[in-house]
Amino acid sequence: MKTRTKVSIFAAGLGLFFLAGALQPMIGYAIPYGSEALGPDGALVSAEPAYLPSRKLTIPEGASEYRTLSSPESLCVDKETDTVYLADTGNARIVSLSGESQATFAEVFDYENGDGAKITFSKPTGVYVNSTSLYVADKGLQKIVVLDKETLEFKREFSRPESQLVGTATKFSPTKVCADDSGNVYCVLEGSTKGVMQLDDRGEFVAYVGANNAQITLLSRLQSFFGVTSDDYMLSAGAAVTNICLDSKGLLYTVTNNSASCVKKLNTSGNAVLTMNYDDKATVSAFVDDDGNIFTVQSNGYLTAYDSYGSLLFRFGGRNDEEILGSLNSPVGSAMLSNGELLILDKESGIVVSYEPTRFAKLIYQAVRYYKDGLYLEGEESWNELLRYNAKFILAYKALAKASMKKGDYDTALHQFKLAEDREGYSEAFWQVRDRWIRANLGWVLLPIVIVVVAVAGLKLVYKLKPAALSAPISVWQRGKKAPVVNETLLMFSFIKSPRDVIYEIKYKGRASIYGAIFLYVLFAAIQILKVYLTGYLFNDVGRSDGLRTILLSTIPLLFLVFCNYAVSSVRDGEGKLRDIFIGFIYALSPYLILALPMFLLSNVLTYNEAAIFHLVEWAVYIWCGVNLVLTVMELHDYSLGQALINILLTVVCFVLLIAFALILYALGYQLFSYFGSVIQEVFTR
Amino acid sequence: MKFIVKALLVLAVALPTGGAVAHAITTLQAERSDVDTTYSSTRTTYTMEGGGYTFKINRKNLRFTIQKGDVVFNSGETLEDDEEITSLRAGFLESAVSIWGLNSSGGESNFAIFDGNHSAVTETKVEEMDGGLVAHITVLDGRKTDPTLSLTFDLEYRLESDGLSMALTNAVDQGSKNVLSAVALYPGFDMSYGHYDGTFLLPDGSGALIDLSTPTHAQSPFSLRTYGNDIGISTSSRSYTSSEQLAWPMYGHYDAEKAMMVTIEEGQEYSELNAKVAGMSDNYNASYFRFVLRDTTYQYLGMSESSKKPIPQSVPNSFTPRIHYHLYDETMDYNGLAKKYREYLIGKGLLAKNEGSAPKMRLEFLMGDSKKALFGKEYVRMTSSDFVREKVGDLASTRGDLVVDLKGYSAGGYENSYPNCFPVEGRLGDIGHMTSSLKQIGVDVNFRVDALRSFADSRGDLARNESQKLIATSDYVDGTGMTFYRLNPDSTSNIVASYGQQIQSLGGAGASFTSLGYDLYSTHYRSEFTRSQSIASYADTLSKFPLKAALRKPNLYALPYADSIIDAAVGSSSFVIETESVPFQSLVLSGYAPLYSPALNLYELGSSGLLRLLDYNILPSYLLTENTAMDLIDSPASSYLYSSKYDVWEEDIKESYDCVVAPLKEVAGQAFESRKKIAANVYLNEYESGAKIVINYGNSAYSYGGKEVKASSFEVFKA
Repeated sequence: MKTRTKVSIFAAGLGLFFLAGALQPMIGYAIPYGSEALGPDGALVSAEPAYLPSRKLTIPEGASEYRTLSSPESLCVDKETDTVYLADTGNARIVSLSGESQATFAEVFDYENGDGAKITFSKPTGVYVNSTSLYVADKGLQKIVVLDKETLEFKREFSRPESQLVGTATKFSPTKVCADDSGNVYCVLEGSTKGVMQLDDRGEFVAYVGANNAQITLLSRLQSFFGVTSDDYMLSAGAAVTNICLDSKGLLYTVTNNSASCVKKLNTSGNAVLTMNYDDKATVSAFVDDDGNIFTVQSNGYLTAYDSYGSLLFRFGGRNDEEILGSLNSPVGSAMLSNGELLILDKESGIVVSYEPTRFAKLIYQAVRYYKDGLYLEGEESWNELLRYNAKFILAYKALAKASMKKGDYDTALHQFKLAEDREGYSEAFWQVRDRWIRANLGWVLLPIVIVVVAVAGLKLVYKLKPAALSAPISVWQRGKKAPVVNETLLMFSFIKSPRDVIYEIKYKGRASIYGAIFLYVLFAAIQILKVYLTGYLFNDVGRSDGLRTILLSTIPLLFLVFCNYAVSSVRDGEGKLRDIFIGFIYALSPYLILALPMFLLSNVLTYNEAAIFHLVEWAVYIWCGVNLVLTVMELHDYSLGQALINILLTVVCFVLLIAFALILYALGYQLFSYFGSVIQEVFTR
Repeated sequence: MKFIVKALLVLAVALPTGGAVAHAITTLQAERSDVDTTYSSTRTTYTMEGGGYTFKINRKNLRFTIQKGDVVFNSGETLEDDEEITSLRAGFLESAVSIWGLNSSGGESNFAIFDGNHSAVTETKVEEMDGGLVAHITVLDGRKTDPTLSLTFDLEYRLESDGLSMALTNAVDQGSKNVLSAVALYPGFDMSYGHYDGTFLLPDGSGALIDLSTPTHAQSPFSLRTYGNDIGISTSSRSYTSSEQLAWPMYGHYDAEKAMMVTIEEGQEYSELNAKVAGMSDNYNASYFRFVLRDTTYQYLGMSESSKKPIPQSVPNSFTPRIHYHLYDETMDYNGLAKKYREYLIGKGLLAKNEGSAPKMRLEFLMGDSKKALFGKEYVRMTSSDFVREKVGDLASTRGDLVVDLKGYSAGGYENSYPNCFPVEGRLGDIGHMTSSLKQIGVDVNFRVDALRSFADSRGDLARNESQKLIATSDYVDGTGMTFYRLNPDSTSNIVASYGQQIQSLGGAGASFTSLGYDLYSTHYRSEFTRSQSIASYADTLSKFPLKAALRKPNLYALPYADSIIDAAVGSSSFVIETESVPFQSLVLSGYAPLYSPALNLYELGSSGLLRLLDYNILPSYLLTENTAMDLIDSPASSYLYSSKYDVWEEDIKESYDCVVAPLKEVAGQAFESRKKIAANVYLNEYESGAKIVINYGNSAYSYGGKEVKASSFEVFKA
């Protein structure tokens, strides 16, 4: 059993070659890519480079007949010896070379199998090295070949396993391979949607693991229901896994290119237990370091690093047309040397580029290690140091907040959780802060309540007794109440008590004016703005937004609904006039207009533990408004309940059509505007 | 009848205004050679002698040799038995002139007048002219009635006191079918074969070497346009580019017995430096300048990329390609060439000694910006003038040599600044008081300005490209890919004039220009400026600026006006073809214009970064704020800032001062004479006065001059 290897007579020369690369100061400091980290709002922010390009690993002149790699598809590193193994697909060979220590270069084109037959590699596309062996997936040969990792001598090979569970139509064309030290072999079969094939150490079929679930859209469900199949439907039936890797514990990670969550960590049962929080659909490969940090490579030239919880640490790269050290065209694989140097294999250029970690990356790894081990206090210094380099590094705030929690410094933790945008953590810290405050200020908490209760009762009494001494202010109040705006605003309180009576008065007695209604619409819009400012952080899902947009998005649909209801009721014998509907609809929202502000204020003193209270009130208000709306429609149009519900349903349909029409009008108008705009520009500029 | 179209290459460049200095900058053409020249000829060769040089040219194919002492430079000759090179490539390298043309479908093809691959008829006639030789050349390729190429032009050769100058003149297109796009003179001049002990010196960033003795891993040749691409022609917007812009139109080549420096005397703004080494596509090492006659833009006929149609620039660039080959029959490396280039620049009036200026640390403060608010935008104050005054004052008490730059001081903040930077934001406090206070303790305050770019398309007199669209690019010079619009050069001139008055009224010492001197583009429609005219206008603008001017990576034409250079490259672009980065720029400029690094809090220099600055004689800079960069998260123009809080960086600032500024004080105002590698990772830098600095990048101590230079440290040896 021989392998045609060239175990290098070039060892010394190669050594010098690599040595030169290693010792020379970096050629320049221009970095052909940007670096980013996860910042606020889930957005990527600029960051100090995590890695700097340092050298390029290529085969030196004279070492091989094929000096350049041709469309290489995979690389791996033996952690013990720092030997780099490459699947040089285009040259149909396996290459091994020293990563750092300038030892040897070897290449394998063929091997003699157990039957003595000489087999030449055809299309090796995957390599993986474990503690004893080098595994090669050759999709051309349709075999997995196991070589001794040091001598590259043939050990055994696996062909298509004989098992009914494999599936008769399944073609055994392995593209990627991994093997743990227990002898479990995992291989990706080209185009297979069944998942990753797991074999035992004899090559017997064990199971398929990590299959992706079919993502069936509503459209494809309908097509399926009506017996109409489409390509989309077929495609969505569980995308094929395209790459795999193992972590130090032997847990499998799958990569599915062009998938919604393309990197998944599987548990021993083969179920996904982790997906990355910033998945990039262009991901083509992944590897996991000894700390559990996950590194993924994207075909668009990026390398992305996540911690073991799937939180993005940093990413760098991007396509660059210039041939600058460190730029990548089509990266397909990555691995790490024991000194932390990162190697990335570029298929298009046929090169392996080495990147050295900067102090920023080293600090991240150190801090993340503490965090992973729950050593929040011990890691505090590292995280603080990290913030020196990047004040927008969100993960640091989270870790520091946890350290503050551990120290009992809840006020600081509160601030840090907010910066980290960690609402769960914020809620916990807030609970502690609130608890401490209430304990310290119980008397002061009760006092205002007592004052309010006494004040309200006192005012009521005063209003009832009308003492002469207070006749002037009472008279002012009574006159004030009669002012149209005040009077019509206070009508909301009557509305929530007896909505049908108020609507009746609006419809037949002109109880509310159009101006009063406009005031309430303005109030409604103002409440939307106040919501942004007054809602507590934990319940504020509006965030930073454009005020005008907020107003338009809240009031215009309401006005559309008014118009639609009028249009529908006009053809369905409704009695309500447009004016009455306009007024009635805003009064139907009285519960919201009255209770919104107290709700917003309430949200400031609640934590997630009491979220149910807030949401209960919130939903109660919405339902109350809905019921009011039905009653308003019934009373305005003199409908029965059934007629009112149908009317509302048709109003909604009409509303949707109106929105669609408006969008079409906008699109056409935009085109028309652009056309005439360009014509005018053409006329004026030429 | 011959259809004579517009003269393609005209003899003289008509420049608008700008005075004598500007004219001298745009056309560095040598005065008429003062070398006494003698001539002789045979049937096949013409010989010219003078200044110690002997120039022999073949009358038919125009190949030549030029000899000084025992050293011979030749115009380019491939080996007869070289089977690896294609005849097309061999013709290109050996030809006197190589021409690029665009066919009707926009494809560019190369045509060398003597490559033998075309059915071209090339007629040459060499004769004496006043001060040199001239070759009259007629080229006709293809059918006479519809020729692909039909040209007449002259090649002029003159012996100079330090070499040879050459120019392509009197060119007339006689009706070529192809549109001419570029031309190169003797692209194979001084080329060499295989891996040999020679080196190319490229002015890429701080300077780069290509070691010709080492096999390259590069697949692409070096190719950079002098002063960057003309964004006034090309409509494609620039995204992330990491390579440095070629600021100096020169390159060098040296080996064990000779050295050469090539400078462009006219047509710099249209030139492009190319270098290719053995092992890439053939086995020759050659570098040359290509002159671009027409740039290409693209018109999209549909939505897809494939529907784009190349459109050549309508009016060709008007200039005379003029090259000066400085030829030396002595051994010198990049140190020697730097000295020669410095002398050359001084001789041309482009460089003047900066007397009495101590090295300083540059602290730039971002004062404020705006951010998105619920309605419109709200102002974010990042640094108050009191904070600058106090902190800089404190720092100056122990580390005195400082210079302060203010950025984002405009009313409404940074995003509201360019091009109209004034008035200043009232909420920053009393800036005038701050500048006067700092002035009293010897700290100058500069104001960062930009009179070439505009943040919004509603401000300023904006320039249009050849497609008559506003010139707009997204770049990372000063923000996170925000779109910047460009101004017409005449508008820039007026704005810069107003800057001077405003800065003076605030007690500022000068301005730091972000784009002036760096960006160069042609403008079209209503306000029309060629690149040459833009240069003249910018030079004129800068010459009239009454205060100190710090320029960001200035191109050669702006160099005379740079009191200091900011954002100086601390290395080369790291093109794979390059083998080493060297401080060529510092060697030329030290003692003449101080160089400041990019902001060190945002720029990764690696673990030996400060040593590198000391080695390269580049002074440290920081971009700082009083508040945390987190406050800028909703400020698109400044959101790139991720760590700038002064308090966080204070200790680093002091360390940088002690490691870089303090030792460089010992060589203040002195020319940087040489940088030698005296051991692995140890460099010896010598200055004009004889002072030396030994920089040890290594992990072990090194002994020099009886002193131990610790690992990752340095020692200054006074003269």
